[in-house]
Amino acid sequence: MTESLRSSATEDELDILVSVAIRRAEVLAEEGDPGTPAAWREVRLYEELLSRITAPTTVEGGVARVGAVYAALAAGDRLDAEELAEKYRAEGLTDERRARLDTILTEDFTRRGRRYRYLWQTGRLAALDDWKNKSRTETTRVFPLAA
Amino acid sequence: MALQRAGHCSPTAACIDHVGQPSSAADIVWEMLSTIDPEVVPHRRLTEHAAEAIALTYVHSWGRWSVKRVMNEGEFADWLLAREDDRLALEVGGVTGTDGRAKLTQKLGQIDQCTVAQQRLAVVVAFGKPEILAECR
Repeated sequence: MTESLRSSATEDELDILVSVAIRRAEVLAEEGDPGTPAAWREVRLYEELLSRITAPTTVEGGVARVGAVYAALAAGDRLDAEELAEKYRAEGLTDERRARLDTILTEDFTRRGRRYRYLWQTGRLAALDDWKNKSRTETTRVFPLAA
Repeated sequence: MALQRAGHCSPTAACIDHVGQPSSAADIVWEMLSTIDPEVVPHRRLTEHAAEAIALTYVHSWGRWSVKRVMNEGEFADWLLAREDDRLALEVGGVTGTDGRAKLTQKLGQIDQCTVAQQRLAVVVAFGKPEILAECR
């Protein structure tokens, strides 16, 4: 499906797309498939599209916005998740959805703290996010390629 | 597949135990498969998916709820359902045996934490009997 088609999809169509994408991402994650982050990025895409066409105070609007942040975290894109969360908070989410956003961000921080214990203990967990973000947008490598 | 694996043939009568509703039964009809290869669909996933299919059909029949979308992990519900402007969060479970009570208690514990919709429901399908257990919150 092209980007333009995705952008013109109706709410019902996006509901179907996001449902299928979530199930696929969950199955891939369960099996430890390397395609899992890409699957969660697809979930995020649909959730973001849903967020554009739904009001933040509605049930579906709130679910989509929290879903976009959740999918970004599940894909390992922590900085993107924080940016999205900030944007959605500014849109006027309900208190319940704000609390949910805070919870999933905190849970992710705790989970990563356990995984990268040394970075967490030395207060450098954010540096990992910076590096991951750069590695996605630039061609930075740990070791330079041979000439 | 899950009903056949539990030894049932189509059609089979399922008891419905929905807290607060009169006891009832429903015939479940499906296209019988000649063989079931357990390698094709993992055991747990088969039970989950079959329970979801039956639960969604039951909830539509019971309250005219339609599927809106799948919920993300961490929302403490599997599905968001719609009926005009109303929304219902649904948590589903399945057991291969005959006793779904413990599973229902577990699922109610989960749906109790779901804050996204005011109306919440947990449904468990016990494939051994078969039986549909449901409770609203």
